[in-house]
Amino acid sequence: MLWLVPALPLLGSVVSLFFGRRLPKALAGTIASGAVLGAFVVALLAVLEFVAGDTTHPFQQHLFPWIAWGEGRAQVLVAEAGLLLDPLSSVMVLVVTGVGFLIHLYSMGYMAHDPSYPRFFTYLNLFAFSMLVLVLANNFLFMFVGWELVGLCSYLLIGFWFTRPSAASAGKKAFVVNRVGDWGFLVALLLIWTTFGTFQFFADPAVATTGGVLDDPGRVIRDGSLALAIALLLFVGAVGKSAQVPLYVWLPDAMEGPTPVSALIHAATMVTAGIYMVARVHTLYELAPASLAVVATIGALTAIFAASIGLVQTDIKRVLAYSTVSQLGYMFLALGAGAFAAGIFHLMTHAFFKALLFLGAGSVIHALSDEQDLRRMGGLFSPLKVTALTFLAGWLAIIGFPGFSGFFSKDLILAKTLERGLEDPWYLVLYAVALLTVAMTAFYMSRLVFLAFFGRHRGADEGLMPAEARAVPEHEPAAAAGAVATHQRASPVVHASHNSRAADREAHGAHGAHGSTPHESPWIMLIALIVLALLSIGGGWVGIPPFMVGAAGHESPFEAFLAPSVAAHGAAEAHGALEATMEWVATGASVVMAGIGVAIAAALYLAGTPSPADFARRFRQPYLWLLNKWYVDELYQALIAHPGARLAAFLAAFDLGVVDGAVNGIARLSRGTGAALRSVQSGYVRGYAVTMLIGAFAILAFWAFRG
Amino acid sequence: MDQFPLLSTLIFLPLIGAVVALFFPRGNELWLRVWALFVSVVVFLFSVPLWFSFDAAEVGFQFVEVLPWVPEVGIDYRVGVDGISLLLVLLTTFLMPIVILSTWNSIEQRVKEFVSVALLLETAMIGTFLALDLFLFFIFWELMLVPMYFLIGVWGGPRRIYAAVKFFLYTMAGSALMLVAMMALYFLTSVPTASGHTFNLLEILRIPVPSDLQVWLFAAFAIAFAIKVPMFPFHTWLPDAHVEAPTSGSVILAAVLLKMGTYGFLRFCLPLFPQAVVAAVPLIALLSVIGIVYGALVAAMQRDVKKLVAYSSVSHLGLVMLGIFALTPIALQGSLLQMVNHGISTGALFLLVGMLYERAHTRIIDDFGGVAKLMPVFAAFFLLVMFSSVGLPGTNGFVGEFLILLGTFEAAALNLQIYAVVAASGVILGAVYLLWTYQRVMQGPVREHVGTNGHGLRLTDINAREIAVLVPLAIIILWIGFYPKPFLDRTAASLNAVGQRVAAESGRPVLAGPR
Repeated sequence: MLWLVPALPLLGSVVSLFFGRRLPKALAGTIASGAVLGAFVVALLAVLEFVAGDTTHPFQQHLFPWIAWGEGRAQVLVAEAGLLLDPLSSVMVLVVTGVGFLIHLYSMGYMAHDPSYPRFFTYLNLFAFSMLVLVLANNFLFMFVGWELVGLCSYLLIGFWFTRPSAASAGKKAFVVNRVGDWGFLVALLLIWTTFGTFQFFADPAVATTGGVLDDPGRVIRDGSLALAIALLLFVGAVGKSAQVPLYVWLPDAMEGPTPVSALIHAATMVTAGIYMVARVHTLYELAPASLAVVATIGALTAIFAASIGLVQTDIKRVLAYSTVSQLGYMFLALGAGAFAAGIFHLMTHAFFKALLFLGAGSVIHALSDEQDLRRMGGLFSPLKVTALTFLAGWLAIIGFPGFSGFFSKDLILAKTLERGLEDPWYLVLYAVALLTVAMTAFYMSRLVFLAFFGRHRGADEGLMPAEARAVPEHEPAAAAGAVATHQRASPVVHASHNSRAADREAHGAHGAHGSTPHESPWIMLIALIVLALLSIGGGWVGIPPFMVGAAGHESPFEAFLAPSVAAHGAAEAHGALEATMEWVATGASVVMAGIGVAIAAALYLAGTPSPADFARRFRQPYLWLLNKWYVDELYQALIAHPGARLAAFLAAFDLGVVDGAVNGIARLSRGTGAALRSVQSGYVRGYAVTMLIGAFAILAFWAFRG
Repeated sequence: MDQFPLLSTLIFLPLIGAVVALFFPRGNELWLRVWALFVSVVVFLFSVPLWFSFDAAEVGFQFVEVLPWVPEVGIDYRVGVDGISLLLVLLTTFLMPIVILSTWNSIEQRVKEFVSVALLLETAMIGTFLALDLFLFFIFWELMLVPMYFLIGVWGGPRRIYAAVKFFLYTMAGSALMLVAMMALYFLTSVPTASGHTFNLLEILRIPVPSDLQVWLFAAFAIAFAIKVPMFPFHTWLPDAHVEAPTSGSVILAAVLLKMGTYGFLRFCLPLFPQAVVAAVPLIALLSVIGIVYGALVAAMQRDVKKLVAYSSVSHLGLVMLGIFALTPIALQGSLLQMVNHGISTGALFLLVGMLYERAHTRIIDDFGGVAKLMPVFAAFFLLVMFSSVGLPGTNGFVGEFLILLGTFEAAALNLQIYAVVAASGVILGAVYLLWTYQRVMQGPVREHVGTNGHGLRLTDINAREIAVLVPLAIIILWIGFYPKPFLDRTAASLNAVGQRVAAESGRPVLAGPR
């Protein structure tokens, strides 16, 4: 029955592809959403059945031998198509289908006026299928299929409005940057095969296979450096897919896609594939502790780096995009601290609140006839009550307001990092970084909320007056220099509003005359918002730590549930847990940091003292660095893309001039020695042809007469 | 003859069709096309039983037919099929109807000659794959050149004569060396017949070729085949030939003719000269990896889509060569499958480019923009074929590529790990040039009228005939992508035998160390 979970969206995708254009829009959308809802229901039943039994042994379903040859004992099996259900994939499959369904529902409203409606749902369902293959696969190679196919869908959906050059570029950028990561994954696969001779995650007692890779890999790997190599190469793949430093650059550009896509693929599900993968193969990482330190460090670095950029961005979706990068950093920090359950916990709550925030942003954008610039928003609370209230729930969740889902998951990560820091001081540094990021997160999210929903509506203002805009004139030299670079989106200040208006024409061409009054979105979109808001509030209660409720033990129910999949072996469990008082202090610290962030944002954007413009002018240089995203895109352009293009151009000239030149040179030389080559040559060919033909006929005749 | 001569039927049916076509009265273009399609479909139908009756467990040749031809000098008409040639023969018979259907409107001049030449080419190609007599092989090998020469030289683009002559001379140069080596092998044999020697491949496989001679004979064969593949640095005839050839010529060239080179390595070089092969591994692997990266980088810089696809072939076939010389069972399986995959995917790419060219009369990338908006069905096929060429999992390209990389990485005895790692980076570069092309041609602002001199043509989506051309290819792409087992089953035994033969005779283990 488990196979139905990926099969239903695949079927939906095929139906949309072939019949979508002939069906009424509402029906096409219903079929697509229904397919994902069906997958959710089946997944829920499968998970309930699994949980009722012994969860320490994963359930496997072998579909068919995929890359294989021969029969019986002589069979060579490189990889099968097979599925696996264990606590880890249970969580993933429910998040993917559950959140996925809500976003399908929302899309039916959001994309209602798009002429390419069936194509959108074809891609969206194909994505759901791919993501489900990724999280349910029972071996590395089949997982890689899902891994690559979600990349394909991401490419297709970022470039959904492909006639916009920026969207086409962003799609390509996403795919290519991801491929850099996939190179690491691919080489890791080669190492895994030569080391273990199989790609299966776990042995299946039911079919008496030999051991899987993850069944105690230490029994095969005695060489720590081999484990380190595999772990780090896999992590290269995770860094690409989950948008970590240094491969995060594709994710902000991915906001060119329709907003539901940003919510589903570039916030809630696909980008978390790296987290899932590392958690899945954690036993390999534990063999090489240094790899975990790398994971944690990259995670913390990404968290603070992306948050710093998010502080000043003016496009509502880009702020959320950098926020996603930053939050994914938190998850990797958790994994790197050996707290795999904490990482998955945050993955889940983040899926709820970040999907909510993106969909809420989409609702705002929709309400403002596709305005994405925060500087043109404001005062949206009263016209958009439902959107605003649900958005506030998402805001409180992400900043870690006590009781909301993000509070529990982020707190767990911080506590685990601190705990780890007691043994390894490096993690104390990472803890400090993460704590500082809490304040930054609170600041940029509060800034977004205040600019969008509170204050005066600035939609009708001439020019870009509010916020920090005045600090940087539109033709600021730095920004202008960026815009000259081949990268289309170098200057956010200048280009953001252009893009949003282009999106407007594309997405809602038939619907353009909203006038200037913001209007609430249709109910089908609001339902998704409300459900996600409830999840953002209560979704974290499954992970309330025992110390808060005065219970015994050290594990929350969520951690206990995941334990069979991700319980750390050995080292991580041995060290002592924090004292309850320490836990309270740690929790208090992060709440205080979040409070500071909110307070600064409130001072700047609600009270206006000091004015954000003055503030930006005073710290002009740092402000410009942040606004231009640390110039990383420009750096990559200069260091990789340009030299690469120059090398390719050189080789093309080399091929024509030297390699082919040599061939033609030899030909000319021989022509010089002989008589007029042309006559010899054409005579030769003709004579040759005749000979050959005669020969062919001779063969034919011979066979005819003999046989 | 106690069994139906299936293989001879496959070889000579197209030839009969070609001859019959010559007797069609002038002015019957439509009937000529229908005739050619009919013949090629019948040939394909005759090849289908091969797929089903082929015994996958059998190592040796099947459906063998032998007729003495010139017994005085030990030349036989000897044909047979094994796991190495099976898929390539099927690829040929499968593609020919597609190619002929694709030329329905594009070939308007000299249709009768075109039909005859195309069918003659089919005879030559199938004959080359099936010949088990070195002389017979050579006849068919050379016979392929003539129709291809005319395809490029008569129905080609503006520089067709240059390209055709270059193609012909370049290949001939290699063939001359091969002929000498074949003669040497011939004189090494000793059989109790009047001639004392034989061109029979099965006999030649029994003789131990002396080590010092192996190097020279291997070199002669290898150069002939390397030109055909084409391997870096013998590849420069390919872009010219592709650019000037008509679509049908490009499809056949890319899909089948290039496979003659890699087929030659598998059929002759590996089994006949195992010691020389093992000695040559570092050189060939190096050239292959250079070809992979070099082909991809140069492809990225091309302005003409056909040239771009031509250079991508250099890259892809570099990977196939790497797999062949990795000598492990997995790599050999991957290489043979990838030969088929390249035939399907690159053939399809050329067909797609041809469809675009028929509409716009240009192949220059910069002349296009937003084509996907005007031709959505075309764009969907283009996407699928592109990702198959990029090697996305779920398409045929991934299975072949991955098996090659895996098998190469595994070839620890030959120290090929680093080559596999570098080759894997070709994966990234493949994505770069194809996605960039897709972006510039299919995406971006719509240019309704494509053309250089102002009054360009309006692009219309592909019609039912063109969809019929592409659908079979799309099905194969997904079939091999999701369930390659039936293909791999049929090739395993023969390739294993070749791999084991090399290992046994060269004295080097194929794999090193325990798992």
